[in-house]
Amino acid sequence: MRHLRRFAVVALAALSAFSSATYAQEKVKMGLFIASSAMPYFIARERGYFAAENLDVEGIPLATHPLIVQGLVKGDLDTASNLLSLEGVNINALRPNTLQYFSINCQNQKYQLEAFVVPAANTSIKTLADLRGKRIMSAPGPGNLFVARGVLKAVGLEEKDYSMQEQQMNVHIGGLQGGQFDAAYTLEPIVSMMVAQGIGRKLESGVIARYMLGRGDACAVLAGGVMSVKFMQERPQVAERLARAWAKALNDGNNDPKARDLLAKHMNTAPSIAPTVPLSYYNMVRYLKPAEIADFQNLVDQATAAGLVKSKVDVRSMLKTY
Amino acid sequence: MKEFLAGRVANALTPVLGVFAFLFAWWFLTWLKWIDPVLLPSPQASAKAIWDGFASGNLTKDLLITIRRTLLAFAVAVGVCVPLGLMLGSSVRLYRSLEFVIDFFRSTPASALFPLFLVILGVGENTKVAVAAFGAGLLILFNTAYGVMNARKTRQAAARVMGASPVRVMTGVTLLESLPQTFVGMRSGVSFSLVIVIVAEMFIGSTDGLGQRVINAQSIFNMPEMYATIFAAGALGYALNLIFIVIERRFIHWGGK
Repeated sequence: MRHLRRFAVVALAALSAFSSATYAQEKVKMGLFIASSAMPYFIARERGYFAAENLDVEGIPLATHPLIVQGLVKGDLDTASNLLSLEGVNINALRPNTLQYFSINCQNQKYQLEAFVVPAANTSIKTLADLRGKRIMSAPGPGNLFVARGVLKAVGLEEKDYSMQEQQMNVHIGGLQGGQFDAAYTLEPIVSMMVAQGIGRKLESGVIARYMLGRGDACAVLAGGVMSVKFMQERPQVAERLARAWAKALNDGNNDPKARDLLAKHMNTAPSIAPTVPLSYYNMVRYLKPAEIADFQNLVDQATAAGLVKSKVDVRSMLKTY
Repeated sequence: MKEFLAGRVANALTPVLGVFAFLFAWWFLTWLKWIDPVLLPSPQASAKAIWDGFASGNLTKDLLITIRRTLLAFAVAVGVCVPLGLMLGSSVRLYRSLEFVIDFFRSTPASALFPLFLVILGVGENTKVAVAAFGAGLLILFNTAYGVMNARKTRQAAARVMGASPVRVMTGVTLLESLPQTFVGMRSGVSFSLVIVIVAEMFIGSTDGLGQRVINAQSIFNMPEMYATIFAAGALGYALNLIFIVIERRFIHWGGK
């Protein structure tokens, strides 16, 4: 019996040594843009998915997407949880093979992250076409202005038919409530907050998929998880382990309502709306359907035609399957 | 004669030596590719972006809009705070009673007060101008008040002895005595107005102006245009400062005498 116990101890020690040799704890630096799309990072961290892969993933919040790209280019970051597709495509157009998306967040009329919102009362606006002659505020940045104008163009409104001003997200509620704007093209969780507080009413959501991609269930790719090509080439095993942990987190994000508790805890979402605020649908790239890749390409081509991307980019060159 | 000419040339070149050194260091860094060229473009690429920006009129348009906002904010700050500073400075007790409030807000970054101004004035042009006017105004107020308080008492007393009325002492002696210090405040104030206007254009919603141009160029990685805009903003700040120095030397010639 004593021999058996000694054997068990030696075997456990050997197994432990073997596994730590195979899976030495690796440090990974992940850029975060603090929004609901960063949820997979917090799920993987809090539920031990990174630890199970023996990864020490340090989340580094950065205020803007260009700063995340800067970190990836300089090598200060290995990966990012939720980089905007416009920024990702742009850097690859300027500097090919900088990064690749290994997960994609889809938004559409089912997974509604963007909406045109009008005041809850005292408005005659019933459809997007009624925005003719109105004052509209948009989420900030060239990408948001591009989609807001693109949607209105699809319903027959040219830029001269309305006035549009970009505003930081934190002033959207006040801008609509104060009557300085007749409508807002805004993003979650602001949409939910406007509705919950009785300030706004959704005019239409999931507008990018419907109007710019032509199908309400299209996959409008506005963000996703990326890894720098340098990281994937220099530490391929670590990248694979990271992707394995990430896939578990995406699955929880899509299917486990309890994961939403993390929104209020880490992602500046009011607890009252956290259980219901719409989220995007998270996909590992390996699960993307050809039609969804075509949707991604379509949106990128439109952005290129609008001058937001320097040259044509084949999005398949930016996708990495794990 | 040769020595005289050499001295003249050396004097003329001295101010631009730093500029050449800066440009050379920048060019050398980009030539070495020590920083990725996508993140730090060469001076030539940035110069071309400046040229293209002015040639197309886009940069000129944004520059003029930023100048208009800056000067408007500065005018509001001067119009409100110079008279207020004169009033506070002429009554030390009144100034001391408000000193904490003035110093507190002077020490608070004006950009941190954006949310407060947004609540009061809403989103729009007024907010950008008001925040800049507020920040610049405190600098002008503080300097004007101190200019008055530090006016030479002997000159004021001499005017009084010669029978000048309090109003005449204020306009004929105290105001002129305080002007050099007031101008220091105005010079700092105009630069501060520009800084706050650009930050406001970047972060509190704008469809035009140099600040918005910087943010937009950064978000699509048009780095030459971003640096071109930054240099246009720097040149504007330098020019405003220079204009004030010239005005100060021309009109406030008694400063420090």
